[in-house]
Amino acid sequence: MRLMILVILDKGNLGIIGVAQEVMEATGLTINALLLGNHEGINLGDYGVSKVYAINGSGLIDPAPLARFITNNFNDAKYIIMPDNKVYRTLSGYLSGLMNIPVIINPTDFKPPSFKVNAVGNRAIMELEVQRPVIIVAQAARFKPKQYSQGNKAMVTNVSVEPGSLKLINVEGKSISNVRIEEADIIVAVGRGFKSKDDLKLAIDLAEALGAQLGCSRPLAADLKWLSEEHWVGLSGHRVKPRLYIAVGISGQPQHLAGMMESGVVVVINIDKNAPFFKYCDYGVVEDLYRLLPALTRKIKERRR
Amino acid sequence: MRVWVLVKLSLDTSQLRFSGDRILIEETPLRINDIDRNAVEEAVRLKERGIAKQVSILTVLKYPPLKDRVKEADGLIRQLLAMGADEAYVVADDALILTDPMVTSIVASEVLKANGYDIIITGEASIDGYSGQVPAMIAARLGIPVVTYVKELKVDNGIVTVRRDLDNETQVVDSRAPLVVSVTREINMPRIPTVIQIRLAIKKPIKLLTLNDINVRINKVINVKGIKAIQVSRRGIIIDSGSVEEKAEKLIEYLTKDNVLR
Ligand SMILES: Cc1cc2nc3c(=O)[nH]c(=O)nc-3n(C[C@H](O)[C@H](O)[C@H](O)COP(=O)(O)OP(=O)(O)OC[C@H]3O[C@@H](n4cnc5c(N)ncnc54)[C@H](O)[C@@H]3O)c2cc1C
Repeated sequence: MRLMILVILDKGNLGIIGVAQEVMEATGLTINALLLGNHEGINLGDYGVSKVYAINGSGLIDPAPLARFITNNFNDAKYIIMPDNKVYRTLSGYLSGLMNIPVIINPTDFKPPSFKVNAVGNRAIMELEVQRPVIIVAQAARFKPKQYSQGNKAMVTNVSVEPGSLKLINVEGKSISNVRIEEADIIVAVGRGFKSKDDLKLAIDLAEALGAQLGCSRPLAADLKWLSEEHWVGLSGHRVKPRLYIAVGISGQPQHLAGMMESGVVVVINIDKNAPFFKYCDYGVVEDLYRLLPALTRKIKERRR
Repeated sequence: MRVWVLVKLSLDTSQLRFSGDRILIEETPLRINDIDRNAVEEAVRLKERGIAKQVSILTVLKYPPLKDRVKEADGLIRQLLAMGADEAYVVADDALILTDPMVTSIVASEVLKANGYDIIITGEASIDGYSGQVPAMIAARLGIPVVTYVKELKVDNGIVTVRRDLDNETQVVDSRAPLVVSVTREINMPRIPTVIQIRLAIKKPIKLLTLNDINVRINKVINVKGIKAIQVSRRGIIIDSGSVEEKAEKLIEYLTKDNVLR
């Protein structure tokens, strides 16, 4: 059986090829790619991909047909690599079930067959060894694929996949901003301690004075929708490591901490002296944010004059 | 319809016990994975609307020491029965300790196949593993569709309509049972059972199963070589006295000394 690396991706996730390249360099296996959706102007040959299978058509509403297609046609894949988002994470699970192989999510380090992953709610690093073929889901934006050579044409085959049994009735876009919170140097993060969306102005002013980005807890993005999801920090949101993290009106539940544990200096501002976040801070100010933030912002501005 | 809720008894990440860079797993309490309460709530609502005839809970224990965990599980699962679920199955076996999500899905699918199912509801992911893989893994093993990250669920005339909350869009999708649905934390507010409901739940059945009972043998495909705690030590300086102005000044003084303000 010839073994290979299969990378599954779309136009918005080309960074994931960087993971396939690292596995290729470690194992000597060749890379095949399954390219979903529009693929005009993309030549994966430059990145060391030998064969490309292009699937045109709608997005991945039902992962089942694509997973069956992969199972039937890529039985010889030793590493199946795909980007990390909710749609791909659904595909990875389905594929695992059909192929009877495990999934590794967001390895922080990989030297196949050894992998390191975050575990126990991002509070630990687990070292794993997998001998069997494995599915790897990784954050595309964290990798920069190398261009090995110009004009190396990969062979492209157009393939099609049967429709699934789920019926798409409607799609609504989400408001997206181009904040890249993972790269922020200073973050002012806001939580449910703010009583209304308008009140976030207090944090925005502080952020401006500091040259900081705005972060938030899950309820503010997922429930209240006061901020877009790019600002969401935590286990189910973004993982950040700014030089300075200032948490305002956030209680400090473990799922929030999971996203900011590796920050430099951590400041917590909370009215409740028993807020759990105070156990994980460098400086904690017990005070009403509505009183503290205006004073803090004013003093920081004064200091810079 | 027969509705199942898959529940993980996770490590309580707010009460982790450490020794150096070791996490003392055996000494850390379990906690019902928070989002699984949302899953149970959604199932119980289907029952109240006359759509679900029976709501069953299924959990696969993953943490040692097994004997104590079985007792601990009983107390936790009773809380979910008090919310309105009818019965529960707990799979406990030494061979399942610290196994990966794929193993959970193998075990769960066998229990489901043996008992029958229409809708299987899970949380979007667990607070400890946070992989979100089990729902789709089970759907694949059962050969049925899956809809993940659901924040609204309706069942009407056999048609299941969901609203999925994805990264860049929300999708409204129609499907038919049998299917697997994973729900988000935003789908509902899990109820707090009354004292009477808690008392009644004592009589509801919890069935304990071993791998032998369900005829499953496990080959470990992932070998865990070590688990190391991520440790960050923080100064923990609390500023809680003085006027608002003084507190702000104090904080700026510290941050200036640390050289983190530009
Ligand atoms: C699987 C899973 C994944 C999750 N993922 C995430 C995630 O990625 N990110 C995340 O953030 N959460 C996540 N959560 C949710 C998490 O458990 C908490 O519910 C959430 O972080 C709480 O948000 P909060 O701190 O803003 O709100 P609350 O817990 O309500 O805290 C509000 C805080 O504001 C303080 N406050 C109130 N008024 C004032 C005032 N005037 N001045 C100062 N302080 C004030 C209060 O004392 C309180 O501490 C997840 C949960 C689960 C189960």
